[in-house]
Amino acid sequence: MTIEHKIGEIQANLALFDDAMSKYEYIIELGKAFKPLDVKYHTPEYKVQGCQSSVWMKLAYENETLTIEADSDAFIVKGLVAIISTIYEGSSCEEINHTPRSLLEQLGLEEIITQGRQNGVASMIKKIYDFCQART
Amino acid sequence: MIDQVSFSNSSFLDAPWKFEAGTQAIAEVIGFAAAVDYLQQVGSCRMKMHDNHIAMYAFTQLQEIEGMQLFMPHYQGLGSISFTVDGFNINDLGMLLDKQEVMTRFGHHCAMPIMEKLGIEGTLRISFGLYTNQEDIDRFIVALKKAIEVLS
Repeated sequence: MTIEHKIGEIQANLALFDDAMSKYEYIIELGKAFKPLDVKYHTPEYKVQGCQSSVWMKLAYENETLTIEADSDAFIVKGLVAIISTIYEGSSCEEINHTPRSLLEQLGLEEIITQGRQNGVASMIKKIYDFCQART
Repeated sequence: MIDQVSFSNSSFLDAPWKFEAGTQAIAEVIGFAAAVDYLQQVGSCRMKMHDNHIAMYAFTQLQEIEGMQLFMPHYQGLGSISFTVDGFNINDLGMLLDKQEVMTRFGHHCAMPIMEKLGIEGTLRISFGLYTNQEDIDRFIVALKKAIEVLS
């Protein structure tokens, strides 16, 4: 499935909720269900810069496939981290580089697209793109 | 403000005039005067009474919540209250309050040394003004309880 398809699928899931609270309850559930990153990687080396909450992320690239392991100390941010991981994991860096970040705006999640939120998610996305750009 | 400008050279007026380029803060000065008039009309005594009443009400309501940590041992007549709730991440609580249209400040409030001393990541902070009423506090408490319920 392409990144664009995955974004479309998540967008459709989020659209099922009438109000913001239900939508965020769903995001919290995604966070709770997301496999945590081993605590041994909860170190400054793997920390993604964010003012209000911590995100740790470990990226690997093998056989033209990106793998993402990530975690956060806040449930909502962890849910957003799960969404971003689902979107980009399993894709090639070539596809990621050719997919504009602006496509994420379709999700309608301000925490993802607004840098000013400083919750680590926007920085996480930047780190994925920087990682892939360094590989082409 | 400039003195002379040409393609080869520019010169400026002496201070303080050289720092006063552009339109003066006319709207701001008129607005400030209106604000002062309004506050004088209300009176500082009534303002303080209102602030105390609202803050005391909020303080009492917050104390009722299980796991509440209020970062003042007793109500001290301040215009803001900092708190955390045991077992809940301040970002999660702050973001869910935001989704319910209750604006709080959450984080370390640029005061990392005191947070380190307290052994916490940060707090949530509510603040009050002349225009905050008891219904606002009630709405905030309902929203906070809802956020706790969703995160439990």
